[in-house]
Amino acid sequence: MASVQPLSSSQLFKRCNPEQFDFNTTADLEDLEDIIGQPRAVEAVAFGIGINQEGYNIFALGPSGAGKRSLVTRFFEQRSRNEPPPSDWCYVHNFEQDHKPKAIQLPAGMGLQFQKDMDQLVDELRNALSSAFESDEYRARRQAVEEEFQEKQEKELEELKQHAEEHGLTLLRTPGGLVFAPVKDGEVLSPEDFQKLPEDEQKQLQEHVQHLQEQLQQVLQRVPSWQRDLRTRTRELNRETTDFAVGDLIEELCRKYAEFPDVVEYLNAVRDDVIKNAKDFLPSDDGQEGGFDNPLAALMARARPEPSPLIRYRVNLLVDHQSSEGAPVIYEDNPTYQNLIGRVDHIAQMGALTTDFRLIKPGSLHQANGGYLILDTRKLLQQPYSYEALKRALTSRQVSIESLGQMLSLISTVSLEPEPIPLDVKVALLGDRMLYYLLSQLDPDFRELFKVQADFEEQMDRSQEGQDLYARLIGTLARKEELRPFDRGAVACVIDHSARMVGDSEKLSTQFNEITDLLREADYWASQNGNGVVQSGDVQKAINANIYRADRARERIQEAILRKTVLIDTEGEKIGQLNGLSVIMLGNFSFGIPSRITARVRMGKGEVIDIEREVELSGPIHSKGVMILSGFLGARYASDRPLSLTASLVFEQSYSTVDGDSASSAELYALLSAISGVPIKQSFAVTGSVNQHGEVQAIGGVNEKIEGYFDICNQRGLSGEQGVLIPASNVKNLMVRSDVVEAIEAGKFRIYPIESIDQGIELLTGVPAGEPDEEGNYAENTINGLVQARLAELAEKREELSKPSKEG
Amino acid sequence: MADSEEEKIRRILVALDASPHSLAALKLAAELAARLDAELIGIYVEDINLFRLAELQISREVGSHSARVREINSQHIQRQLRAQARRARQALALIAESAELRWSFRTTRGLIPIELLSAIDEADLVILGKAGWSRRRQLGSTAQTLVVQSPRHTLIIQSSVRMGRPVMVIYDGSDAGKKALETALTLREDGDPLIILISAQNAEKVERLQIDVQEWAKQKRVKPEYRWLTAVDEAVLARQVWSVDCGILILPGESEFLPSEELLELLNETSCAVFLVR
Repeated sequence: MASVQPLSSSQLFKRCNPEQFDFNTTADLEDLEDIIGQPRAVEAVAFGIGINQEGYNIFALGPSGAGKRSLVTRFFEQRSRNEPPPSDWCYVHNFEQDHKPKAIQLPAGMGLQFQKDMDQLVDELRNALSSAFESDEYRARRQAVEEEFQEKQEKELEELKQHAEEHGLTLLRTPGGLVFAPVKDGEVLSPEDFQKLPEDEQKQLQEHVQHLQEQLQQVLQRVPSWQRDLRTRTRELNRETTDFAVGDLIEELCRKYAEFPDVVEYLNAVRDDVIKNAKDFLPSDDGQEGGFDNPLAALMARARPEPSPLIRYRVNLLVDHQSSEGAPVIYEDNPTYQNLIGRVDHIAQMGALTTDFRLIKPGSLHQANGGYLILDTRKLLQQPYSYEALKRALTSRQVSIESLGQMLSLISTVSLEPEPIPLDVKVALLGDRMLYYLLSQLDPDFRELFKVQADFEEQMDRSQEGQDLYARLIGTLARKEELRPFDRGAVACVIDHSARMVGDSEKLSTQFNEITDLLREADYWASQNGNGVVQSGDVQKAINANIYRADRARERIQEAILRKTVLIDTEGEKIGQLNGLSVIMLGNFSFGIPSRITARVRMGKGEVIDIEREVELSGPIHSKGVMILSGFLGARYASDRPLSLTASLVFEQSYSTVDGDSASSAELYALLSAISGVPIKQSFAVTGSVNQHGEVQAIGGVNEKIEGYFDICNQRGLSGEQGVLIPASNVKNLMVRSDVVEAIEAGKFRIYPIESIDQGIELLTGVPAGEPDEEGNYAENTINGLVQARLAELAEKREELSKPSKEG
Repeated sequence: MADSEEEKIRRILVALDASPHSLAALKLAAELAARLDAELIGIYVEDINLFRLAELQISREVGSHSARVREINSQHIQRQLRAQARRARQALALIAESAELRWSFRTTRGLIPIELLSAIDEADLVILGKAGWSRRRQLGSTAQTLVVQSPRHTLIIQSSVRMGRPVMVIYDGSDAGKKALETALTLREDGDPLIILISAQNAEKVERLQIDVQEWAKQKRVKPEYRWLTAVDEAVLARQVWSVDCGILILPGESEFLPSEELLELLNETSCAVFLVR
């Protein structure tokens, strides 16, 4: 087998060459209008905006910082600019059902006009009514009506009285009623005088009294009906007066709003209501004498800022598009239930909570109606009932304001049921993929309502064109953030870092928020370094400083290794011991560290014991990797006899959970060394997973792993023998640090791309792996031969050991 | 035309029967008493006629509101009248105490006009409602008697007296006329318009009287409005009262130009308060 050659420095780091750019600084570049690296998402959003069907709302999914919001907002804004502003919406009092305010739709800008018109009407109404009711004409007519009533009553009583007087009787008033009595000289007859009268006369008087009493009764019985008549006529007079006073005002508005039947209907209702309640608008009038008996009360009535009955003619302008250009694009930052669908406020009056239609407040659905609404899914789901409310509104295509407190019976106070407003809105939800997949799995409505998924990529291709666009993006971001321009070296450096962020030399990151952070920090260092233009040194300083701020934990771990608290050998040879590599992620920062993996073998039943798994410190993927090892061992070396060994594997000095299968190749090497008894060079570290055929497969975090081992070797002093074995399929992911590249150029460190276990074990032991002959046997002086022989030996011994026990 | 000490109103008698008119009279009486630092005397007369009636046993009461016919007896009448007297007393006490007035109240029994006339000697001014409990606009019998027979100043109230309305006074050159002018000043609040109707047989005499009055007005620092009347009767006066929406009309109680019958007619025709100077 041809031995594996270490990678050349050019393979370790695909540097972006600043010379490829034809600009000096990003100030020379045009702004980038389009979103880069997201062709799929762009097309999806464009489709979602264009299609005008129910349920075609957009869910933009992808990692945070991928530019979801800015892409969606930009598309919405581009589209909305060419659309007319939607209607204004007002709430007005419902004269038939007080608790159900009516919604009125008006063209953009007319809402405010309508509100002003009604305010003016209210003002004029008050003046017109009070002057009409205080006019001499009204007063005279009312007095005439009242006098007629009184005259009628007086006349009847007067007639009775005269009648009585003709018969020597008079009409007297008691505290409770009226009574006829015989009089003489203005005085009622005493019983004695009455007795003195002749009997006939007495009898006659009594009959007259009886007769007059009956007549009086008839007169008094007619009084209530006269009073009713008086009230009716007074009402009729009030009605006539009001109609005359306000009819014109309202008629004028009816003409103005003739095109809007809802408004006309409302105005007619207002007219009827004014006529019905005209007296309520006037300062108090006790109705007895037709004037203000109590000047103080009259004064107070006038001083009241607004007599409550007039409030109901005001207009609550819920949505005003007077100054809007185009359809609205709303991003609701805090999508609480109330912020989303609106609310009905209450005010405390004398200790009780009251409300009316003027206290209806719009939600973002009202604001975005006729346009576009953008919401953050996580925030939406965190707010109780918001998601349900949004779905309800989208499904029913209308917004109805319902009080949450009332819905849940938490409070019981007067509330309103405003008429629902028809909803026509395109909603875009922004969220990470997990939320999208969870919602589509768990909520059947979700798929019906959010039919357009705009999936954002984390990375984009690092082509020449891609890099040019990236440079323009850097320029655009720098201008937007008011940063110094970046020279081409700095741009190249940012591009290199972007590739490093995604851990792939052929890709660039689309996490533009992180890129923006890097640009801001580089700008800061440029200012510290006194550079007018951000240079590559400033960018590198920003990257290094960021790492330094985050790397306390790494330093402590490396220190522990250097001080031999954690045992890692970087020279010499050992049987069944090898340096594996793992990655630790703390917050945003990840780094690699070597860990010692050891294997011991003994005769047994063919088990590979993963100590990590036994104590439940390993994740399922790690366990899977170890089980694959048994599969490989059994199939390659013991296909025709029992695998008669027990091997134990462990991550030494590991005190926390281990997961991932990236150490499985290292474990296999350790195992092969332990079985064969051939020592492994401790100057190497290994990463890579392995399959049952012994092929080495790709792993993640390759750069961090290489750097983690390099740091330890470097601090101990590079011997020139040290290096890392990585899967060959990970070579494209290499974007290692410049100091590693330099060490490799100087021949002090090596990185080997490994395709199979045989390649790896040859490098690690310096002994050939060996090829099987036709019968599947390996040459004795090879690793595979030694392993095979040892396993055969163990199998035989085991067989021998088992015989006597059977016989015995 | 100086205000002599003996002309001063020190005691005001107010006839109370707890009716709206009498309560309006009480209100005005209290206001005047406070302004003049006078004592308020409330009087309630239990009508003797009602007791006789109860004893007669030939009549029955017809409810003024319900039109129901009920038996009447003395105890029943007594209780009702007592309750009314109590209400009248309460109203007086409340209004007088809140204005910190000296006041007294008493109940008598007899024929109302006679009882009032006999009580009038104690006071300098008697105030009463135009009509009692009836809703009539016509002058009640009690008021009629007092208008004609009262030896003291008499103020007849129709309904509540409205603020800020003109005070109208009739001046005929007589002593009573002079008193009327003085009374106008007393009753008038600052800012209320004052209208002086100068009444005489001919224009010449009117002019002479006006010079007198102008002199008086200058002294008193008031700026009245003048009107001339050469032929006075109740209809002309009533028209004048209506035309200025007069609040109080002040006129001599006995004068050559307005005999009692016409005076009574005038009171029936107008709705303002009328002050008869005696």
